[in-house]
Amino acid sequence: MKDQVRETTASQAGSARAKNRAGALLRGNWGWIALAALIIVPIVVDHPYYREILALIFLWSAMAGAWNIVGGYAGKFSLGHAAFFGVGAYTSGLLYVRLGVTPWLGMIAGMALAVLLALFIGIVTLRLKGKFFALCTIAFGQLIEIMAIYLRSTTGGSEGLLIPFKPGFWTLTFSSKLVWVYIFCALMLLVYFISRWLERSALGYQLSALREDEDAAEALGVNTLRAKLVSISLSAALTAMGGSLFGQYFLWLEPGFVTSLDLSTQFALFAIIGGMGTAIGPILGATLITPLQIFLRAALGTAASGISMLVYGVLLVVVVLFMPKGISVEVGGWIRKLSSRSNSASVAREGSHVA
Amino acid sequence: MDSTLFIQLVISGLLIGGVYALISIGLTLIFGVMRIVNFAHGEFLMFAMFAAYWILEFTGLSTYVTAPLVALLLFVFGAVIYVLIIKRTVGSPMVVQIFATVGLGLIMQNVALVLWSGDFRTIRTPEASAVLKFAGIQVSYPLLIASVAAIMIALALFAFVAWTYPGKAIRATVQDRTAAQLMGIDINKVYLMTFALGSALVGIAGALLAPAYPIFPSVGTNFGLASFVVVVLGGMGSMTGALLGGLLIGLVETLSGFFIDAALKQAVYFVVFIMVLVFRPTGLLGQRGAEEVGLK
Repeated sequence: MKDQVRETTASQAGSARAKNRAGALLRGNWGWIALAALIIVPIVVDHPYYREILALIFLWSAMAGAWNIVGGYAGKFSLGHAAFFGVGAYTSGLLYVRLGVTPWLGMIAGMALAVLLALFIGIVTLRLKGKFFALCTIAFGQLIEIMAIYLRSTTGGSEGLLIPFKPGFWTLTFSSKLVWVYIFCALMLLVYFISRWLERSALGYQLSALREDEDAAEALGVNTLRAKLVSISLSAALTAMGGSLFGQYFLWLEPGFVTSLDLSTQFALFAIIGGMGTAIGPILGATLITPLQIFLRAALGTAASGISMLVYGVLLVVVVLFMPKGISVEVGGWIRKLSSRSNSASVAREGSHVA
Repeated sequence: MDSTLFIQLVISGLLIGGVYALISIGLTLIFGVMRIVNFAHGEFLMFAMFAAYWILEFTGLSTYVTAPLVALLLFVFGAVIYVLIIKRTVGSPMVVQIFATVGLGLIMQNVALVLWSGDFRTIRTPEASAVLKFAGIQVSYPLLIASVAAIMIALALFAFVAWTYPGKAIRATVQDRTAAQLMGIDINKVYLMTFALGSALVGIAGALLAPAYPIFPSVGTNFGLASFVVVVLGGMGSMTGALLGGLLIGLVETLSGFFIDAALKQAVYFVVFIMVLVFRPTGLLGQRGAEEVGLK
């Protein structure tokens, strides 16, 4: 009897080990499978319309992920991220159109300016919490929009800035949509891996400490000011990068879009619906919602452009009220619950076998 | 610069300030009692303006006559929104508190866009364009009415809070939520009433502003932002602060529009807004709510 039990435990342990090994193998390869899919799918999808959708999914995933660095990990809800997006887009766009500087350099300049703006906002809003921080970032976003419209002679005002179409590497303009799909995909991966790195770094732990309780974090010796400034700067730089690339992709900058409150809201909305404070959540959010918007617009025409924003609003309210941690965390929880149930069921079955 | 022009500017500024004060009273009431910032406040105003517009279209009744009806509609609307959404956000994590009303604003703005299109609508009644003149100074009739209404509503609200039983319940809740509950006050009912009342006040504002401004789905965005500025400047939750803040912002907007650049008048009040948040987050007259801006 004893031997029998020992045998079963041994075989059980063996099977568990095998299962673990299979799991690890699968887990280790999941990343590669996803990466392969990211490379192959854009080639297979050989249609400009669907490639445009892919490009936008990647871009908005990246922007939602950038918002998440300060909104999700640090718990500072910005409603002014379009300011960084606009600064990035206008800096590279203007340097290129007015002075002929390559947008690659312009992009770096835009990121630097966005970081300066972020540091300023970060220092100014030092003491502000929650809704007051959100209100203050709205004001900054509005200021950038007003300036973009006001400086008409430089920015082109509310009619916008046209960027000439001269395909080439140094002009950062490509006639192939496939190139753009890969560029935005790379941006998304960059944001994703920075987020993953952040989750495991000391900074990431400091951010989650200050998100949960700022005073307690400070008391424990966390330099909350430094953590906040680093996270908002990182987030701003990545957002500005997206802004520059967006400008080169669409070749038209309009303050009513690139610096608008609606855009700021969208960044936050994608991240919140997908799941804040996780690396994958913002990507999931943008991937779920971007095609929805495009399909709705295609199906209903521009006359019903309100419908897609209406759907956004409904999704946001429903997710925030009923699954405030976002879809990815919620669904992840279901999967874990299901798998643990099936695991315990199988263990129970084996146990009854022994008896 | 001659003095008549300056007086004219000041009066115009004060009149616009009265409009801002009128819009802000509901927002500050809701914040003061419930600690909720209604990010959809501007959209409530927009709904009220459309309500006044459509009632006028169908019945021909002046928006000044139908203001109480619009207030009633918004009262009911506010109560429904409270039960559906706001109730679940009280005491919830910050992300819920902020983004539930941000989402609500998106919904309302786009419902208006789908139902009524993005066209600008204007009310053309004799009183809408009426101007009172004395000693070379012009006073817009609709703005004057809005300003007077702002002061009257603030006074009425003071009386309500000071002397009626529900008003006392509101004050008790503001002072100490738990103690009020222990004294048998139904907090949920107080919140429901506060939110509905705040909505009704913005309903009156919408009806009174309908003749003075074009009406379109995103009209609430700028008014909503202006009312945040006013409420933060005056002190979150302070009625007198909302009046004072409104008048100040109106003056700042008009004077900077004239002396700096008309295109930058909004920029000036956003700068004021940021400076108030940074240097005196409690606003001019506010004290409560200080803990939420990190002052404790």
